[in-house]
Amino acid sequence: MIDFSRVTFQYPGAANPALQTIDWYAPSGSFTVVTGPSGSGKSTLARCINGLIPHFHGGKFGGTVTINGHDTRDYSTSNLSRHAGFVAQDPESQTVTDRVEDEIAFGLENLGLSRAEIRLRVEETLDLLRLSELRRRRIETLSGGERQRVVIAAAMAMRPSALVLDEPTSQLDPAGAEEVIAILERMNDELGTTIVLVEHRLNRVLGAADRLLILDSHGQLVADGTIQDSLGLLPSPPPLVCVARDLNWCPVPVTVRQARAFVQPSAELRNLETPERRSDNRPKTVELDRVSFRYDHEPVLRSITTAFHPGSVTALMGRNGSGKTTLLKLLNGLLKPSGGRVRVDGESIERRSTADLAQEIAYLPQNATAMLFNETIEAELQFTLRCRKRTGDTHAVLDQLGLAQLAQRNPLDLAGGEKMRAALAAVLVGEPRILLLDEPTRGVDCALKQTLGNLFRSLASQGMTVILATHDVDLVAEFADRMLLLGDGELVADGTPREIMPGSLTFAPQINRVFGGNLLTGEDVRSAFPNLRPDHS
Amino acid sequence: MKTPANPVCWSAWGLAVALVTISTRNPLYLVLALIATTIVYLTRVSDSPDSATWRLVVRIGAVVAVVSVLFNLLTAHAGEDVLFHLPHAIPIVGGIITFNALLYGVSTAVSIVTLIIAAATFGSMVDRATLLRAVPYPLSSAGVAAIIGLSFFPQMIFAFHEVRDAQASRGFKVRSIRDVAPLVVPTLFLGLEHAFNLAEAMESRGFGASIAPPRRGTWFLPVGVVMMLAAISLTIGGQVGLALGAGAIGLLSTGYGLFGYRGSRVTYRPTRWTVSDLVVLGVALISGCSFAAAVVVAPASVEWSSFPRLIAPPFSPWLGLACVLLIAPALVGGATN
Repeated sequence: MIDFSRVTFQYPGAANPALQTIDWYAPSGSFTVVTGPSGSGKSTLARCINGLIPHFHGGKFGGTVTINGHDTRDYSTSNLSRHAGFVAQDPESQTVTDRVEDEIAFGLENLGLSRAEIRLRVEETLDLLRLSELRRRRIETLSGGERQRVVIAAAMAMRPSALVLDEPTSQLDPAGAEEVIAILERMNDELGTTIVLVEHRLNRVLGAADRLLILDSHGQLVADGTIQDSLGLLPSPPPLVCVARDLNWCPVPVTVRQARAFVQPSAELRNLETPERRSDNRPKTVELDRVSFRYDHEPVLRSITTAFHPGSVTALMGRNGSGKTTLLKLLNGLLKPSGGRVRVDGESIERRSTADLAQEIAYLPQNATAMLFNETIEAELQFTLRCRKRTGDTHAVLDQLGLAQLAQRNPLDLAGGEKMRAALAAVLVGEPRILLLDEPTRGVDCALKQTLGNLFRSLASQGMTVILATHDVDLVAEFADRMLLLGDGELVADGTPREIMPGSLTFAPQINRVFGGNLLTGEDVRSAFPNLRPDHS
Repeated sequence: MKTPANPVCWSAWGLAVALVTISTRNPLYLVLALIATTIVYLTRVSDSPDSATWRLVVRIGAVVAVVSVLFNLLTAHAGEDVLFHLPHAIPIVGGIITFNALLYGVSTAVSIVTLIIAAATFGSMVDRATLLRAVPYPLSSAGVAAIIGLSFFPQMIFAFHEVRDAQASRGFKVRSIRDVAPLVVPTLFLGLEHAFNLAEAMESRGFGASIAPPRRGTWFLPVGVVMMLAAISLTIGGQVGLALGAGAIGLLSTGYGLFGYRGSRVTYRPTRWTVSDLVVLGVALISGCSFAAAVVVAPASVEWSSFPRLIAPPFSPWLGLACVLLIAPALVGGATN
C-alpha cells in the first residue's frame, strides 16, 4: 500500500535532513499514528506519501516512496490524489470554494469525471461525513469541526485508498476533535481506507489506530509496530498510559474502556480532599463588571462578571466560538466592551490604549507568526523592551524558555514549537504582571507542554496573573488552579478544575473517566492509591 | 438558498466598467460611469463577511483617491487657470496651484474609485466556485490563480488586523514611516503561509491533474492569440483591411481553442442563465464595445486633457448612454449574493 524505502529528505537551505533513511510499510486497511517531538519530520513524512515532497517543496530527496505501486517521483501530486487524500492542520486555509457542496465537487471536477458521477459521489460523501444538512452553507459560517469535516469529505470524495492527515484536530475543541477521530475510525472500519494520522495528542487516537510510528528529533524512525509494541518507546506518553504502567497493568490500556476493565467496579470512589475555597478578598488584578460584547449586532459575550487574582493560573475553556479569544482581547483593550467595564488594578481601562496597557499586560496571540519580524530572537526581545520603555534581562527570559542557544537565530526560520517559545519570550520580557495566552499549547508536543505548564505555575508563584484560553483538558487539569467555562457567551461554570471537570461529558480528562471520583491527573492517582506504588525499575 | 450570481454576466459587466474607465479621461463619461457603478454596488451588494472586507477596500480606495487629488493639485504647478500661488520657498508644493491640476486629479481619482467599486461589487457578488466553473478548460489553471488573487485582498486585510493587534499588545505604536516593518513583515509572512497552505491543499485535491489524453488542435489557442496581437499592430500601422482579416482568424481560433474542448472538464452544476443575466450581459457588451470602438475609430471623442488650457470635454450621447447602461444590474434584479 504505502511503502517507504530508505527515504531521506532535506528541505532546501536546511542544515540537517528532516527525514533519515526511513523504511516503513503501511499495509492496506491499516490505521497508523505517526508521532514524535516537534521538528521530528512527522509532517514531512506525511507530505512524502502524496508526493508534495519532493514535487511541491523541492529539496534533496533520496530513496523511494510508492503508493499502490506508483513511485511518487514519477507522478505529480495532483495525479496521486486518486490514491492518497491529504488533510492539513488548519481548516481555514484549505478550502478553495465558498460552499460545502462546491468544495466536495472541486476535486472530482479536477479528475475530469462525468457530471452524473460527480453528483453521485458528492451525494455519497455528504452522507458519509453527515454533512447533508450543511450542503448549501457558506464555508465561513461553519464551526472549526464542521470545516475540518468538509475538508476530509473533499478528500474522501475522490475515493482514495489512503487518507493522510497532518494534525487535523489541533485547532478543534474536545468535542470537535472527537468527532473527527470517530469519523476516521469509521472510514477505516467500514471502507477499509488506510489512514495515516500525524498527531502528538495521543490520548484520543491510540484506541482507533492499530500501528504506531515514532520519529525522533533527528528524523529517524524509533519505533514502527503495533500500538503495544511501540508504546514503550514513546518519549512522553499520555497520562493514562503512564498511570497504567505505574500500576503494572498489562497489556497497557490505551482507551478509557480498556482501562476500566482493570479498575474493580466495586472499588469505592477515591476522592482527594479539595482545598477550602479561597476567600474572595484577595487582591484583584483584573475585574470584569457585567461585560458584554457584540460583533455585528450578534452577542458574543453576555454580561460577564468575574475577577482574576495575582498568583493564579486561570484557564478559559469552552467550545470553538464560545468567546474565549474575545474575552482575552477585552482584557488588554484590543476590543472595547459594548457594555460593562473592565478594570485593571481597580481602574477602568476604557480610556487606555492597548499599547499603553502593554506595560503591565502581556498577550500571546494564537499565531506566533503574527508578531515575529526581527533578524534574531534577541532583537525581538529588545524590540518589546523599547516598546514598553523598559529595561530588562533578555538573557534571563531566554534561559527560562530554553532559548539561550537560539538567541541569535532568525525566529522565522524556527520550527513551530521553538517559534512559539520565541514569541512567548518576546511578550514576557520587561516584567509584565498579567499574562494572557491564546491557545499556547496548540500544535505543541507533550514535552514542551509540560515545560510550558511548569513555567505558567512558576510565573504565577512569582505573583503574576496568568490567564489562558485553551482546549487542552490535561494541561488545565494539571496546571490550572481555576477554570472558567464559557458557553454561548455566558459564564457557565467557575471553579477549580477539581470542582468542574469530574464527570463532565466533554471536559473530564481520561484519568477521571477511568478512576472516577475527583481524580484528574496521574499525580492524583498516585496519591490516592499509595499502596499501588509502582515497582518498576 | 439563493442561486449564486452568474459569473459570466458579472465578469462581462466588470470588464465593461474597466474598459470605460481606462479608455477615457473625459470627466463627463467617468462621472456617469462612477454613478452607475456606485448605484449597482449599493443596491446589489448585501451583507456578507466577504463584502465586509470589500467595503473596507472601497473605503481605502476612497482615501487614496482623495490623497491623490490633493497631491496632484499641490505638485503639478501647470496649466493656465491659476487658483492661487503658494510661496516658492516651500519645497515641492510652492508655485502656482491651478484649476487644471485639480480637474486632472479629480478625473483620475474618479476612474480609480470606479474601478475599485466595480472590483468590490464583482468580488462580493460572485462565488469563487461558480466563477471557476465558468472559466474554459484550457484556462482553468490561470482561472484558479486569478480566483486566489481575488481572495488575496480580504485575506491580507485579515492578516494585517491580526498583526496590528499582536504588535499593539507588545506596546508598539506607529510613530513614523520607518515603523512599518513590525506590521508589514509579519503580514507578508502570514499571507505567504496562507497561500502556501492553499496551494498545497489544491494540489492534493487533484488540481491540474491530467484528466484525459491531450486533445488534437491544442495549437488553436496560441495561434489565435498571435493573430489577435498581429491585428492590433496592423491597426496601429494603418493596415485596416489586413487587420480585420487577422482579427477575424484570431477571434475564431481563440474561440475554438477556448470553447471547443468543453467536454473534457465537467462541472458539478452548470452555470444557470436567467433573462436578467442575459440583459446584463448584452448591456455590458454594448457599453464595452462602444468604448472600444470609439478608441479605435474616433479617438478624439474619448480623449480629453485639462492641460494646458481648460476646454469643455466633448460629449457624444451614444457614449454617454453606454456609461449610463452600466447601471443595468441594479435595475433588472436577479440573483444576489
